[in-house]
Amino acid sequence: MIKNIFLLLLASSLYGVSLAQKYKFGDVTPELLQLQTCPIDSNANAMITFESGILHSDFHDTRGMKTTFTHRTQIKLFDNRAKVRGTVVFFYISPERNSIRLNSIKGHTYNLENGKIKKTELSDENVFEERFNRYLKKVSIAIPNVVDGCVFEYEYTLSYPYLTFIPDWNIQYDIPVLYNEMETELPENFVFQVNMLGSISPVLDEQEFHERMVSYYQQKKICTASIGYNKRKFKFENIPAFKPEPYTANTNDGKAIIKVHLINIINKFGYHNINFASNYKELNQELLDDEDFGRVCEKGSYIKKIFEPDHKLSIVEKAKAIHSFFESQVKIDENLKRHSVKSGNKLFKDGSGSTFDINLNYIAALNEYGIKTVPVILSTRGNGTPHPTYPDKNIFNYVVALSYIDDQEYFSDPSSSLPFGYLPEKCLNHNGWVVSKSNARWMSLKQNRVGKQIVLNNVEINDNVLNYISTVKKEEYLAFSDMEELRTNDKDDFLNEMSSENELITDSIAVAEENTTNIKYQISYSKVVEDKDYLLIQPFTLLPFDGEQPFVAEKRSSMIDFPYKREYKYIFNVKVPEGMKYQAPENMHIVTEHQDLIFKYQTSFNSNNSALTVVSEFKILKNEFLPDEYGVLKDFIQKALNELSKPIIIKKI
Amino acid sequence: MNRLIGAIALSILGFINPFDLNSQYDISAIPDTILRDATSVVLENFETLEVYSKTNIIYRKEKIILVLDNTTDQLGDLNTYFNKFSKIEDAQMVISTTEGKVIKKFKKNDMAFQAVFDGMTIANDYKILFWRPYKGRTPYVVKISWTESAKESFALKSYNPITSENMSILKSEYKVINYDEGNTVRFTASDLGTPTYDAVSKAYILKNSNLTRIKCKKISENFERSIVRPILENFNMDGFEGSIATWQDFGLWMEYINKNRDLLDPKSTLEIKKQIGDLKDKKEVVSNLYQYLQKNMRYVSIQLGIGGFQTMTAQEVHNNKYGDCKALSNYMKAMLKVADINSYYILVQAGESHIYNHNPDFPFNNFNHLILGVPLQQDTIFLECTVQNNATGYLGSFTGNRKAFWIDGNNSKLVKTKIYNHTNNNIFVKTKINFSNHVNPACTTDITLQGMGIEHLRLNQTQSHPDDVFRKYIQENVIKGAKDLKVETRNYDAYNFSMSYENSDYILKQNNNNIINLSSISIPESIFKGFSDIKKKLVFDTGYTIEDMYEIELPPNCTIEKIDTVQTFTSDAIQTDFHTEIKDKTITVHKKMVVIAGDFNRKTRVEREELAHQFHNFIFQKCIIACELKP
Repeated sequence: MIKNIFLLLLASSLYGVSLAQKYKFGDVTPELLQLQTCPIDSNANAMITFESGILHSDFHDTRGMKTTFTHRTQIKLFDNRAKVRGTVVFFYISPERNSIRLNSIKGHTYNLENGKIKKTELSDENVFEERFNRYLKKVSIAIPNVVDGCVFEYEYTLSYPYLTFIPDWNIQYDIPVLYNEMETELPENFVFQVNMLGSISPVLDEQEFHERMVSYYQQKKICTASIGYNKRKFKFENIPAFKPEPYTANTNDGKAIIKVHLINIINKFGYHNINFASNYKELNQELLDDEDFGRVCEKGSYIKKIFEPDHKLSIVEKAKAIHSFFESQVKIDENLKRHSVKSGNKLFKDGSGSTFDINLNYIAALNEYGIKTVPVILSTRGNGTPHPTYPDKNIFNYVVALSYIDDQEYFSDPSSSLPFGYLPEKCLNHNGWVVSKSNARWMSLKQNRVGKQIVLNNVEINDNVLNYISTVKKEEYLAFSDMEELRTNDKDDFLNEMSSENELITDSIAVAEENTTNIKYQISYSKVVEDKDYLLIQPFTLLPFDGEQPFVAEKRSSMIDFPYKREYKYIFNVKVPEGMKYQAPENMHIVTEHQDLIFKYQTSFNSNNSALTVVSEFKILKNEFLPDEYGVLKDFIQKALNELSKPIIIKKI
Repeated sequence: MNRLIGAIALSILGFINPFDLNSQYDISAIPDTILRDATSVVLENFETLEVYSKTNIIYRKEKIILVLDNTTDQLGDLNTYFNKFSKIEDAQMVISTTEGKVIKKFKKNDMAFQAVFDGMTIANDYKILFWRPYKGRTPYVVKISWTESAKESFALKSYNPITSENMSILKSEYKVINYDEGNTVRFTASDLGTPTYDAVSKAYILKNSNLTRIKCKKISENFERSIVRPILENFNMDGFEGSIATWQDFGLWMEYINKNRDLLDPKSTLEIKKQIGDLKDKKEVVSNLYQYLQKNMRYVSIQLGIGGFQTMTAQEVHNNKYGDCKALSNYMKAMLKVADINSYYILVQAGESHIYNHNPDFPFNNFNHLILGVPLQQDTIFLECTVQNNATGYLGSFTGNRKAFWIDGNNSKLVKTKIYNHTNNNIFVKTKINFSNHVNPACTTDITLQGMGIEHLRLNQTQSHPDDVFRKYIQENVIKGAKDLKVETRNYDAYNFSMSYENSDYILKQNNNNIINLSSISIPESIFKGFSDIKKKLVFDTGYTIEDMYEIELPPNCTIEKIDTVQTFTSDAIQTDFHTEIKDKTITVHKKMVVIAGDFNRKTRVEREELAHQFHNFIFQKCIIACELKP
């Protein structure tokens, strides 16, 4: 019956003109054309003066539900480099053989010529529409007559014969927005939940209910009824440009956006009652009951026919054995479905499956062997941060396993190449939702994740040549990223790039040892010195962040996010030649208040054998830093990098 | 013996009926040299190009791949481009075990297609048919076949059997049969070999066999040389007949398809005349109109049908105020025509990594961009019409220093675009450091750039930055860590920038020493890149002259702890000169380096490494100033 329902598509309709709204769509003034700078950001090369989205749905007596979405944008340019904004490209969902239509693309460009407004109309030759693939169409608009100082505007309407989803509405862009409005008008039996993300608050958020008589088609008859409509309107003003910053889990975290989710279709006018999860408790139950999700985790009997871990193994070892079996026997394919479409038998027969196929069947296998394991859904880094209260099922694009063994919790993901107990770096994105009958909850994905590096540089002074024998050991996440590079890219290129040091020539580099969680390299460098009586020796190599301050901006507005903690240790040994003395940076120990940033620099000299040893440690022991902590973190890193970069001076007495 | 039988079986099954679903593949029959380190082996690859006429061309491909490791590479995939002039008639893919048991079968309708979208071109005809359906347990065998028909003959399907640097090839054959009598087909040079004419089969044939993974990798390092591109001398493109038998023929065709597209209506002509005003000097007129173009037009890439070669009309550009490289160049040509100045289209392969060296004796369209040439009495001005910030005549790393095709009917020819080398690519940096307050030394830095030097640190792209944005750019990208930075001069005509600041990351304090890295900001990344793989090669893409000068003023309580006095070396690749002068508590450091563009791989590894050591010592010079700590 569900298929008979016309799922009415989203309605976001934005219109309405606020009193504070200065610039209107379709009404460009000489004052706007003469404006030289953006009133809210003097550095902006363009601004959006007006943007609106209006989504409206209605019943048609023979065609059922029809939804239209009208998008209007007006942009003012301030200088030449903004002219590229005159090329507008957007995609819309349009599966083959359906009747989604793009109607009435219109637009105008306004220029001031000899004190008069010249209006240029968008014509068909400026618009290019093509089928991008079986599901999407692409529209490109080359706005004509775009020159420095101009204002241009365009609008289009999409009409849908059904309601599938409501696209996100952007409030914030990479340029300032003076006015943005969104309006939806939807039948009362379609209940939507609206989530506003980011730090921008609306200047207006009003709701209105009204009824009107409509005709609709039910059981081959045209019926008439009074239907209630919910209308909601948001207005935003003077929105600053959104500028992505480095070291964030998700580039768009913090960007103002409205997400609208269908949560309920009420049994009315021929529509059957359908509920969608509106909170995490409901989502949890929905997933547990889902034949392609929760139920898969209960069907692990297949595993006993194909694999049996040694019964002498401990529980953890058994779990690791099952993990290894999955990792070696099934590979990830490109199926992006967010549920399992394969049984355990099918998965192993094919030898491949999606992350959901592999990990849900793996969870079933662990449970079958008595290892209590539940799925954890998450959004990978870059895919966005799940809302802590209102679930958007679509954002969860990955699933991993959480096993309870001897009062400890272990994450694992055999669809990746990482060992039991570890999650791929892409999964280390805030919290995951533990899908469980009795213990459903949010759980940190980054807790206790760490990457370590130890560099031991033994330097010999041979006449005018400094010879370095360097042993580098990387552990856990700093090792995993290297292993991935070595596995997927040209080994020689990777090693060559990894060992490149500004002042040293790399004579050789090789992987000396590799196991599941660490990797060791042996590197030799050399440097020819000009003045044998005054040596400047670079003690350390492979500095954190490649020796470059990663935070160069003066200020920070978003949280700094490291997927894992970092610990670096450097040891430098050199024998000071007879008749020479050394000079090294002063010993140092920096520890921040909460002991989450630590830097140590310690020099020791053994006069018996003239051996100079310098040891330094650099640790970032926190994953997330607030914008307020930016200055402290930036200064700490700079100070540490400066100290690590300083040469050891060995000079003639 | 088994190995031999297996090999024969492979051969027979492959050549007679490569798509026999009962085929069995004995991996042990494949030579170890072919299997070694390979993630896939092309067991058989047959590509046939049949030219029936200039508008009727059929291409067939049948390929059998043994996939050994699909962890990283996309192997056994189907990827082929098509456009409005070509059609994929059928395509199929069969995946089987090495024992011949079919796992999956796919037909064209099961596969995906997508419009090609490079992020810049807003409309083009190109689409890609692709399918990567399987990533199951290895080994397995993928058999791929498709047929493609084409109605145009300007760009024929090329032979490109090496699709991964980790693959090897057991057997591959490329065959071109030309039924179009009197029409010549020829081939670009390739490290795979050149198809030779076989009188019996009346076909050009190239066979490759036993290409190991190492051999495949080596061939694939030079992409252009890893492909065989067929060229039909007389062709048809979207109904436009033409010839590329000679460069002149090709030039005539380009002129023909663009004939009269540089006309402007009287009103527009008047506007251009008004823009020219009373200017008489041709160079000034060119410059004036170029600036007009930059100010009023913008680049929008539209490549539809013959429009990939035929420009929009100048009038369309004038009306819409946009166009692609051809359209903007054509519009510039039209404006110059109004001023009675002749100009010519120039086809060029743009980009920093251009690799194809066009041959005067081998006409071949391997161009992706169009610029304009304006011959004046003393000089030729080259105009890059898609960029808004370039000074008149500046081509830079995008199209400078390469052969290009000058289109002038029967006089069409290959020419060299503007030459940039160590004599005109200059980077001059002068830094003054004053230690009167030795806690935070006061510094000024003055940068002057010339030639391709203007692209150093992307300073040429900062032209339209507001002052505050520019200041941040300098602080974050040029003088990192500078405190209280002020931009004193910012001049894009002379490309001169000067700034003052307190301290920076290049001055490190150690005990009572101040260690100054005398490397500051002067070395372009491309020079370091030249040394990046010194064990194997030494190549400098671009020549430069770099002068880096420091003037360090010391207060009474500071002394020079360490600085080199003289250091020079000279080689055919790099020449350096370093010397210092100390006078009245002022240290002056002069550093000059000339880097010659070229391939210096003739040097031995020892010579290359010695050069690298000398370069490093020169670049990473340090000056140490000792200051008594204040009580």
